[in-house]
Amino acid sequence: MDRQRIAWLTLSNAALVVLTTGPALAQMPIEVAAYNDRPPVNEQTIAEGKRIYDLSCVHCHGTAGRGDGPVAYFLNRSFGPHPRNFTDGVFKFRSTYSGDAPTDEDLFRSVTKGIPGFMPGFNGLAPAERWKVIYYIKTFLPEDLLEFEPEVVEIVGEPLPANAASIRRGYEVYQQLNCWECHGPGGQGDGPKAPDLEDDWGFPLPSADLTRPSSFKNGSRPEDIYRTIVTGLDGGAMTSFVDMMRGREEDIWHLVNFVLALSR
Amino acid sequence: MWWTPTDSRLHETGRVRPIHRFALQAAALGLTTTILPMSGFAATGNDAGLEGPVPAFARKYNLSCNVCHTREPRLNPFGQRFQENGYQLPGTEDGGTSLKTLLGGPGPLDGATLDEVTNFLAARLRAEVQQSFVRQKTVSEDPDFRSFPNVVNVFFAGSATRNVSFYFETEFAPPAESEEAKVEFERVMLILTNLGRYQLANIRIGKIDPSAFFAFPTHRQQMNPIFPVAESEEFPPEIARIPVLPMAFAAKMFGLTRGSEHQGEEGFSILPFEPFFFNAPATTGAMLWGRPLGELFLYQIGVAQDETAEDEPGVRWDPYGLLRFDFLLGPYTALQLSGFYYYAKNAARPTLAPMGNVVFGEPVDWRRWGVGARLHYRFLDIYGTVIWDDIDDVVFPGPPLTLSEWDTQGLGVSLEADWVIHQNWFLGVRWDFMDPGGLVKLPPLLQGEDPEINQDASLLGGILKFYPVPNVGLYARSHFNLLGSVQFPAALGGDEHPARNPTVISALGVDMAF
Repeated sequence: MDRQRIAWLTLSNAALVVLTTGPALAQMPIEVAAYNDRPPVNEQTIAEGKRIYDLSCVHCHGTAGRGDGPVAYFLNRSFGPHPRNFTDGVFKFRSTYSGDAPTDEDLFRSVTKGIPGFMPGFNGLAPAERWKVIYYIKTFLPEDLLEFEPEVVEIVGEPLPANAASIRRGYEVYQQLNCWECHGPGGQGDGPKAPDLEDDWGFPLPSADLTRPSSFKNGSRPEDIYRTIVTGLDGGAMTSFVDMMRGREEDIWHLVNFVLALSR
Repeated sequence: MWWTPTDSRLHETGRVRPIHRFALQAAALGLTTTILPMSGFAATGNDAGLEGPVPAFARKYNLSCNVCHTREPRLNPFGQRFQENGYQLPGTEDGGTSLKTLLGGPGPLDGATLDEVTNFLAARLRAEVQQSFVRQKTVSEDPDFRSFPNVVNVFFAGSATRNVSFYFETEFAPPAESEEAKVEFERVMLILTNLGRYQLANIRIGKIDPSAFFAFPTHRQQMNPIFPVAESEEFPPEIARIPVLPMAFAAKMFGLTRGSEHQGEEGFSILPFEPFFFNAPATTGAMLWGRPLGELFLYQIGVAQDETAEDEPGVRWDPYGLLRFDFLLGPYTALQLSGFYYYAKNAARPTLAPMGNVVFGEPVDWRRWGVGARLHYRFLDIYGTVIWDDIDDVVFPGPPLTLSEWDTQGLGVSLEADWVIHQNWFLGVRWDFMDPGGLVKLPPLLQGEDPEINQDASLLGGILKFYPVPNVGLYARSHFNLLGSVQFPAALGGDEHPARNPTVISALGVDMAF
């Protein structure tokens, strides 16, 4: 990437951070801790969760949570993601280590935000209703996945200023981690490996276009991108970089700045 | 003469020379298929992951079309629940407010919300170039090209606030065939949902489509209606070409009119092939529906307003009701079964025109009932309906018209199977059959041994659609007449029966939503 490009990205990034961060956060009420009225887990709340599930979720995720509702096949005829099969115990959007169950808060975030392009955000449900439907969804999970309390991958540090130096360093990390192989040199999802990507169920899976943050399924805030890099997206092609980047957390933030700069 | 307009009439009402017209249409079609989709991209600014730009609700929720549609415009079960719930996500009653700008502050605006225009404004544009192949050219030697575009719909729809929604649909049809250009409100309705408790009772008031919740609703056809070429101001009506739409929806009765008061008005003669009553595209009225027992069962009751066919017409309110059962049968499989009943008192008058003098029989009550089913399985969407029509016995003031022969029952069947072959390709096949009632034979002195008037009709149609982007469908379609040639009685001109005259009706078109 040449200097001119980096300078332009830096300038535009600085300007647009101010313009976009506020609205973006406002549209994504995913600060789960803010929802204090979490009901207890008991038969009654799980039954209430089933009632809500049957109204709101069953058409895609199916009666048994296998992702086989009547709408599922029409959603994406030729490529993933298909509605999640909860009984597989494989979850993309986690704050936990790859292979672990998501936390309740992760599920709450997915239910609240939805998945751009594919699943609506159900923030029209009251927070208590969302918790209840999560309690019910968890009844579908494999028992061995629930035997251990999932460990949350720590987000170390805070977002760094998106200056030229940071974006340049992020670009170097992007090259080192071979992100370009899937996401492409310009982040447009057109890397050499992109055409052959599949999810764990054999469905073709396009690589994310990093120039379109609103399509980021795991969120587009700096913290969301950081989380995606370190936890990976289980079931998809995006692997976890938590081990590779241990001790290099600052580089992750630089990479986050680079990714966000791609769209500006 | 029955059903056979003259060439001059069609030329008088706006037809132009075919080559000139075709050139204009071809140019316009090219414009539409290139520039308008691009403008759709630009206007929506949608960034919904892998899918492209899509209309208002998808924009609002940042979703692809297929979350609610098998393929636009057909709704899948999730889209049906979204519609039933007044354009609120199933299970919620928030009025979609979570995605709107909160005006807030103390005072009258406290809690009020404002949606972005693109979240409730959408448009649909349909254009076809059509060609009919007929057994007998009764109307014109010209190819039957339509003006461009055929129909433009603009929608304003959404939730105003919690459980209060609105729907406006305007339709612009440019000058075509024998019609003038016109803009009209196709449907206008206020929707109140979740009265009492969630899905207990919901109300629609205004100009509504009664069959919205039927397994085979009148709107949302993958094969857009091909409009008739017909004149219905006089009796007998003149049908140069039958429309192409699910025949089960049609009136299925020959020889009926709306009564003497409507003589000279469009629609005076009831066309046997036009969608009617419960299956009309829109009627003024109200309906109440809900799911008081959960997701399994939906009830609907309603009334539609119209005029009686008596000598001094009065207002009539046609009651109707529908029951629907929804089953989730297993992986990727859902089944709907629905049935309805519609009753119209003094809705029509049997009519004859011996020697050109129009004579009316006694007004008749009209009953319609039908059953429908729809099955989703993986990429398949299969649906069909059987609809029966029944009128009172026909009574004329005296001989010789009392010697005319009438059938008080009609039957229509429409079956369709749609297959999403690929993300960009869609194939649909539809079979329509109609065993109409109404006038069977004129009095023997006029009819002789000639064939009956209410001949069966049957078409088999197919459509192949290509979606370069999700909101633009380019298609080719053809409908084949499955029944052989039949002439009208000599007393009615002896021409080919309009239901049998077309052998193939084909079209190339574009259907866009943005």
